[in-house]
Amino acid sequence: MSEVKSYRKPYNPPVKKATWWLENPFYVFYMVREATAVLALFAVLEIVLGIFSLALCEYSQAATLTGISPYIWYLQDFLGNPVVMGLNVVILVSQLFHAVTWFALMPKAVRVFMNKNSTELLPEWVTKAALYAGLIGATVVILAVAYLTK
Amino acid sequence: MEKYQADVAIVGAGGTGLRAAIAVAQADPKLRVALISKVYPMRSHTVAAEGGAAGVVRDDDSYQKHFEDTVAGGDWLCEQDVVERFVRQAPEELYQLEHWGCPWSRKPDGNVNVRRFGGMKVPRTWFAADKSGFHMLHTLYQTSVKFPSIQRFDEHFVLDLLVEDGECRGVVCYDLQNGVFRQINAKAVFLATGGAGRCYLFNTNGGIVTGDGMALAYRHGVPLRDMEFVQYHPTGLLGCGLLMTEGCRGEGGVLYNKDGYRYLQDYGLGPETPVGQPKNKYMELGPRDRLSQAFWNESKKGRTIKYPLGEAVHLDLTHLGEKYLHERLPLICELAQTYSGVDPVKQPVPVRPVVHYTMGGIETDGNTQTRMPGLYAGGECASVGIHGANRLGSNSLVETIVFGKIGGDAMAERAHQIKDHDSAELDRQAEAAQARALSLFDVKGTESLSKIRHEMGQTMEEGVGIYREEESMQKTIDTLKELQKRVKNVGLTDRGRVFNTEWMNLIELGYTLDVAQCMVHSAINRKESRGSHQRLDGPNGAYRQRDDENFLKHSLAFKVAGADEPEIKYSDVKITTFQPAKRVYGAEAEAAEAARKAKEAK
Amino acid sequence: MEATQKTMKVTVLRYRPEQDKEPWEQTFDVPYHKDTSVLEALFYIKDNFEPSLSFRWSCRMAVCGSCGMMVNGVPHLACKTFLRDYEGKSMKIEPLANFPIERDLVVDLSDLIEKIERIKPYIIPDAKNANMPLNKNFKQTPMQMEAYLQFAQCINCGCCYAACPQYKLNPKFIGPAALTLLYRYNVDNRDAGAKLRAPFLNSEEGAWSCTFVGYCSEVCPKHVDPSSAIQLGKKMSATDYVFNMIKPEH
Repeated sequence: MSEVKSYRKPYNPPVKKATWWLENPFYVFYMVREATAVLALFAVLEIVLGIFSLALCEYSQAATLTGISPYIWYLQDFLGNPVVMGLNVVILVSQLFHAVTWFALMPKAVRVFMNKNSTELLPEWVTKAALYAGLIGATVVILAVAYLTK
Repeated sequence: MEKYQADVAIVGAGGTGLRAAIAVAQADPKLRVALISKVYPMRSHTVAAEGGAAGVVRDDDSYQKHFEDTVAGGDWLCEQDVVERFVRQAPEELYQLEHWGCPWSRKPDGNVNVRRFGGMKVPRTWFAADKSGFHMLHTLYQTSVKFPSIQRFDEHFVLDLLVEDGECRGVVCYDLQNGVFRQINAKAVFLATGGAGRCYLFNTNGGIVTGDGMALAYRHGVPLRDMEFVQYHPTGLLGCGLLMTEGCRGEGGVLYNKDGYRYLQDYGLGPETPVGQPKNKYMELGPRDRLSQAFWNESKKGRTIKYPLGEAVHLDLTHLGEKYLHERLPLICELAQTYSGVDPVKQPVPVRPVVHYTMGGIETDGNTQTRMPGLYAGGECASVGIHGANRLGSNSLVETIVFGKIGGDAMAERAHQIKDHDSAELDRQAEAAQARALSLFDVKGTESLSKIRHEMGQTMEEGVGIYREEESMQKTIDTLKELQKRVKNVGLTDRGRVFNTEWMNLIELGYTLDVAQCMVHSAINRKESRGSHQRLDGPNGAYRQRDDENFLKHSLAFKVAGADEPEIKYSDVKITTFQPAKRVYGAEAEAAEAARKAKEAK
Repeated sequence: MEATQKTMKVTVLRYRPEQDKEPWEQTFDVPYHKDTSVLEALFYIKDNFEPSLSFRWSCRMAVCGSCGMMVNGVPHLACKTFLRDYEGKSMKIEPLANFPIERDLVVDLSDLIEKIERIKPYIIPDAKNANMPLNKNFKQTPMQMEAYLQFAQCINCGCCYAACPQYKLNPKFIGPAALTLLYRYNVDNRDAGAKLRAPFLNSEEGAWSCTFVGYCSEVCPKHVDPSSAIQLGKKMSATDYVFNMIKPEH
């Protein structure tokens, strides 16, 4: 079809590349959930730092405190720092927030029927319960290991 | 003007138009199909059909039964040879849709399920929950995407047919988005523009159902047949008029008046059937015209329920239970809740009759061919002859696909027989149509488009409603004549070319007014009562009865050059095997059938 | 009818391509009662104040998909949104976000339509079933139907595209409705065309462009839950990928 004259002049509303997510509370909520990843990154760096500090320890002089002074610094001066402690509380809260909101979405990615002859889908609460059970289970295991190896 | 040469031009992309386009594309992929619609295909009003589509599949059913139900349901005003063909072709078209992906509701064994419907002796209505039209339309639209030979002209509004030497040669349309006119030449033109429910104020129809194709054909001398037969659906939602499908009653819903009495037993549909045990052709499963008439009589007796929005009766579904209702009638639950604030699981739904369907339409033969060579019509805009004086629920959805297919095949054949045609005369007609449309911008009148539209709807309700009388019909005739004059005096405020809906609505209103005139003129001349056309007048009430001697005929509304009103003529009804008899339902029907069998046995 | 007719300030975004450089706002006082929908408010405006106001509509019953628009910044069907729910507030009606504005409340939907049609939205049967006679149906148990039925409820209104920030930032994204339709056909037991649709699902613009914001599902007027279909599509795409690594031939 040959294009002849058209009276069209569509208007394209400008896209705010940086601030689009401020337009809608739902987007803000989403961005907060995504932003918790930054805090998770901090937690990861924390653990990496802990591992490095262990690596710097001199184990040949096993019993001396000076030998493991990097790790003691990590435990007392770094983790004990009120700012870091506060930050860790924030991280814990943010990761729980991430978990809760993520679990709320997960049933969408699960579509399983109750059984072979049923048109009823597995209820959402089952998926969520499994996820929470996983979270609680993992937490208990980690805490138990921490307690038993102290 | 931009010009496009097609083999087949199809106006309207609802169920019928899409099915026809696919049929042409399948018949010969080399044929160029122009599919023109004033909306995107999935907006077409087929989308709103709920209940289902009739087709014989059960072992206890037969083509003969479907044929008899249809002809008797239509009060013997059906073309019986066309009905015979229709019932035979229905199942294969329904299976075809199944193969294309339509989610017909199933039995546990994986085969297609059917439900009961009004006026049908055996359950034979294929359904996709209560969104049958929606699923059919989307299936057809999505399937049509497969065929590259179908060139769609979405949001193109047709202004006129191109006719040379008495043959239809194409259409002129307006591209709403680009604001330009297009001339589409074609060897065959198929009108599939749907009904004209918007003639009336209170209707189940979408805003686009304005009778465009009917008016286009009528203006070119093709008659509109049986236009007095306008179906009132007995169960429209009070207030807005949205459709509460007949499937509600097919699944077991019952109707109560203000005394909690199942009043249908007083109108030849009884005896009362137990709640939860619907019986075909009894009570709530009687035909639509009878049920709407019963409401009217209940209203006269003061036995309807008064609501702030008007009178209603109660459609009670509560005994069906939440699980069943949500599975079988999810849309009904959603609509009642959203638009009426009523949850059908817990409360009865207030309903009343509402204009739903135009049985009549562009006169065609059984091949969808009109009396103008090159012009075809199918679906609600056509009168192919299967609905007679009253359409049975679930016959129209299947009509769209059966006659879409038949029309598509017929047009493909014509396209192979004749050559492309273009001429200065066609160009001249196209330019003239453009000039006529643009001249509306020059009118400096003071009339209001919305007022005229409203008055038309009002006068149609008053004059050609469920029951009709000479005097009120004459008043409607006079009002419409007046409105035809006033509509020429509407001054447009919107002078834009892109998506000028005010301008389009004005042209649509012109179409609708023409169709409305055909309805009321056909009605006033039919001096009898048949199907959905019921009169209260005549000498000693003579017009209250069916009069086969004088009116076992189709009415034909012709446009007369220069006249401002249609001329009504008549044509014969094709009767093959099923002689006219008294139209009976309920126990009376069983008695009549027993008597007939006894007679045959002798 | 009602003695105490309430009114609401309704602001409508106007844009007339032949006159206006950019959109502007026009405010009307619209009377309403408990059943007045946004669509009916627009009728009132068009019939009484501003006949030149353009908007799409048809069925009035939330099934044709014509009247998607933004109401106070949220995508809605005008016919299924009621003034009563905004009582005491004002209302702002704008064309669907993320689409070019053609005129007033009418947007250019051609991109949506093109994407719906691109992903092969039809049954592609396997060779065995390609010529099934027309007196026979495919077997499909109610459970097999349930696998896709929810995703076949889309009315193509465009609300999900207006809700999707990924589509806003990258218009090449195939988007919620089209990907949902793709998934709908892939899981229909009558269909064997998943392989032909895989390039769309797996592509850069396919399911993987979705970051699971989930707002599309929130605004969908028919509860189709497109974000669910897309996550399930991702699973399908990932399985496909792994399968192809193991068995590169197929």
